[in-house]
Amino acid sequence: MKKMALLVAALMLLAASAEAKFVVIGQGDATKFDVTSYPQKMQDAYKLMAVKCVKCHSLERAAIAIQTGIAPITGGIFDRGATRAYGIKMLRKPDSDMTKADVKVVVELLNYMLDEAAR
Amino acid sequence: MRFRSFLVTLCVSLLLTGLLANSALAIPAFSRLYKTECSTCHVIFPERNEFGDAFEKNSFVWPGKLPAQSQVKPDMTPEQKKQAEAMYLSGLPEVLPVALMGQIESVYNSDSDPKLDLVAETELEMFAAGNFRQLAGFWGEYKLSSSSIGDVSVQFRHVANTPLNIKVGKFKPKLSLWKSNDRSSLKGFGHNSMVIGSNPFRISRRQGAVEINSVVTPRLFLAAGVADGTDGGNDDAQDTKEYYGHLSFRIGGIDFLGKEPEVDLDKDSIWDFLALTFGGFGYSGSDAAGNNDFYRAGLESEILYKRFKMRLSGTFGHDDDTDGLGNEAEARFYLAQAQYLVGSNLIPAFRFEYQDVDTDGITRRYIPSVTYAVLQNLRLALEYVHTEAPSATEKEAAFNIAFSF
Repeated sequence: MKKMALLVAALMLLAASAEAKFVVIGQGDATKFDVTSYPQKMQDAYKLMAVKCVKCHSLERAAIAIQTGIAPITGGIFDRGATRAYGIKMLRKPDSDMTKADVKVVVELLNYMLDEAAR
Repeated sequence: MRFRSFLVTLCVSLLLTGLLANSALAIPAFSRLYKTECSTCHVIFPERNEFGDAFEKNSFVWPGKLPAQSQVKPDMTPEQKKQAEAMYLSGLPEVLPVALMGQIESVYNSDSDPKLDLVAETELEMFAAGNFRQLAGFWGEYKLSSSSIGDVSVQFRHVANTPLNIKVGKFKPKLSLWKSNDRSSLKGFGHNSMVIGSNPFRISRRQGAVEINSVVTPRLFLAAGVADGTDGGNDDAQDTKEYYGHLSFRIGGIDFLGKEPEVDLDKDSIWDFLALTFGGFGYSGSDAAGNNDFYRAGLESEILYKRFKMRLSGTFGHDDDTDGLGNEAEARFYLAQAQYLVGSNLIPAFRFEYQDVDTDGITRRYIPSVTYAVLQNLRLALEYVHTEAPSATEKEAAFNIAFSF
């Protein structure tokens, strides 16, 4: 009985960890991510991303890139290497209002989202 | 007094328009094709940014390794898949790569009659550009307002799997770092239109030419070509061919392949935002009869730091027989322009030009300007040109509205 309970608990844990955490809500300019299941650090990072990124473009671009692994504008691969390159591109873009600290936070979140989307 | 009122009115209009406008996306040919903003390649159109420069050098193919394949998508109907495949096999771009640009210009000149011309010039230009399955880039211009053909060229990319591109057509030979319209201000760079004596050659003159160019290394670009010459100022080719070369290199900033620089996110460096671009060119030509051998040479540099950009240029020329009487002539031209991007859509700029041509004397130009993008595809520009020439001093103000769609 004890073994059975442990097995059920292990299966529940597995099911919970296998739950897709990358959830996109809405589309176009109204695109958002459901980050309620993310660690607090990533939820805080999302607050920054939601403000900084939408200054120039909707979050739909990020959603498509993360879901498909392909950057929607360039058609290039969107992986961990690309997130850093995009972060640097945004850092250097005039009027992006992003600091190096902001870029580090958002890049870390994008990488986390890539991992979640790949699960 | 009227001149002052005119300037005040224009400034207030510009300011009000700026205050009332919202940001939005623009949709010219490349924007439609790549579904991206004008600001991806332009500071304020038509002035290009570093990425726009890389895009052009890459024959209008998006920089980076992209697959050249049909846009067949899983969710397409069989009919749509067939159409997408057929477009690819034919080499046709999926979106018709055509755009239009219109301009309306008002001019005030106290020595002209009338002094104020509310619509001194209107222009409507159609242009088509893009690439055919990444094998060749193309560019075409047609001025609807004057029914004249502008640049038309095809550039074969990476011929025989080498880094060499071959460009053929009628175009402005690659000499200066900057294309003739690569500026936020209205008045063209003086070195582009400078002539010596009766020689009609200008470095921005459109000619029939064959050019080989290449991004040899990510930060080194070379171009060399042979041109038809200008045959007394006509568009006809001449037997005596002319030759030119260009070299440019960049330190810092985005490289010529469109790759962002390495940036250490934990440590600040001046190179995070600083880009230095240097260029040099030479052009050797002769008139149709072979009597006047001439050359032009130039050294240029561009300093870009965050929102500040400065351009410095020196152009030198020599003609053996500029007037058909055996008289030699020389010319020297210097340019300095500084500009600053405020927000993402306002550029105040100031340019100084010094031109010393043996046949004409010394001319100085002082050109302040303000350019404002109401939208990324709708631009307003106000410019004042103060010209001190040997013959007269001229003061002219212009207000220009340009739009592209």
